[in-house]
Amino acid sequence: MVEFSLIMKNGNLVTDIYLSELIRAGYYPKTIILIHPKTRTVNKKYKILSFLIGKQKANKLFIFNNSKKQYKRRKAFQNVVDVFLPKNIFEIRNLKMTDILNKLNVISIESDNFNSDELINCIKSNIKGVILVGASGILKREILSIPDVKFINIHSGIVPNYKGLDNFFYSLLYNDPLGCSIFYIDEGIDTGKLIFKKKVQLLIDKGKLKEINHKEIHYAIKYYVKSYYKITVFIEYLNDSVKKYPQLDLMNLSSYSQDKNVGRVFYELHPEMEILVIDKIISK
Amino acid sequence: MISDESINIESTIKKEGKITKDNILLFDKIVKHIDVYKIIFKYYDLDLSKPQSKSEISNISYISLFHILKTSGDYKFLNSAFKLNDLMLSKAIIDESTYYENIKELKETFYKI
Repeated sequence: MVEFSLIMKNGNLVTDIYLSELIRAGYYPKTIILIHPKTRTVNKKYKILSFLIGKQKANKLFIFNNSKKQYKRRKAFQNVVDVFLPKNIFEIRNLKMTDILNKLNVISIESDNFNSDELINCIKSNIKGVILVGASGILKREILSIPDVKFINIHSGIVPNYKGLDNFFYSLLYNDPLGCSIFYIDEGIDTGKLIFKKKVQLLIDKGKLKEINHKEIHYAIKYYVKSYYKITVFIEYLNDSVKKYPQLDLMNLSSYSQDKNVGRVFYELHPEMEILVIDKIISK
Repeated sequence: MISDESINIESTIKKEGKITKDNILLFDKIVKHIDVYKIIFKYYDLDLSKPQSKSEISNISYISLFHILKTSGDYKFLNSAFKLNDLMLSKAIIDESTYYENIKELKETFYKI
């Protein structure tokens, strides 16, 4: 059995897809820390609800409502996502996060970012071992130095050449292979000790793409397709490793240091560039 | 605050004039300040990470940098040029018609790379 924990932001697509794929593959996080934004507590509806029915019930109701909204949004994107993914991820798993989360060991906290005292204290008191994170931003020294804990990131680019953001799109622009890299997180931007990297191929039905607007295609790739590929590569790595080492210890995986002087750090694409990239993909 | 260990961004932009294989890393570090912080100060430390002055580079330097990025023939720098164009509009360095003209030119450049 592979032991790891997961940090999720409530309603975040990346980690939602991570969790649903992991569970489908039979990998259950030992503990999930579910982060809710602090802004929720200043929300008027939340204030009234927590006054009337108590904070705990209001929390549950808020998770449920958020999940319902997300689910509707995902269903609306189904036809776009189907163009890229080999199968219908929505019908297979019926992504209802509340149903999934109710069956797992979930600790809910309020925090505005991954470097907050709330999250650090929560990890210190509840988790030992590897934590998988997604869409976390840069983790600072304080959280990275928690004893007996290591963080793993699945990055949507082949490191060290592609670091930072939107690497899927930059790789397409520079005609380089798409891929994902798994590494232990350090203080740098995607410079941690590399565990595994693998090329992936974007499956596109260009005929279908012509019927969809560029913004929607970009959104689908950025949030759904990329997350799906990332977690698929991680699961493939776990499956292969478990075959060789049934007692796989994620804290002590074979890994090697990256050459920090190689490659470039890329930043989020400008909205105009997002459209141009998709145009290039379609016209290729 | 400014020491011998500082880099003057305005004179660097003027001196370099365009992006080449030799200075690509230097410009990679400069554009981080557009992409992430949306401001470029006059002086930075030798690693170009920490500002060494509180004053911003001049409007002319922003415009020069924009032209350097636009003609770089590199997608990453072109992306930064789009963001710099937004920045210049928000700082009233350029007017709206120039802003849209720049977007048009940047799009044309994209298809030429």
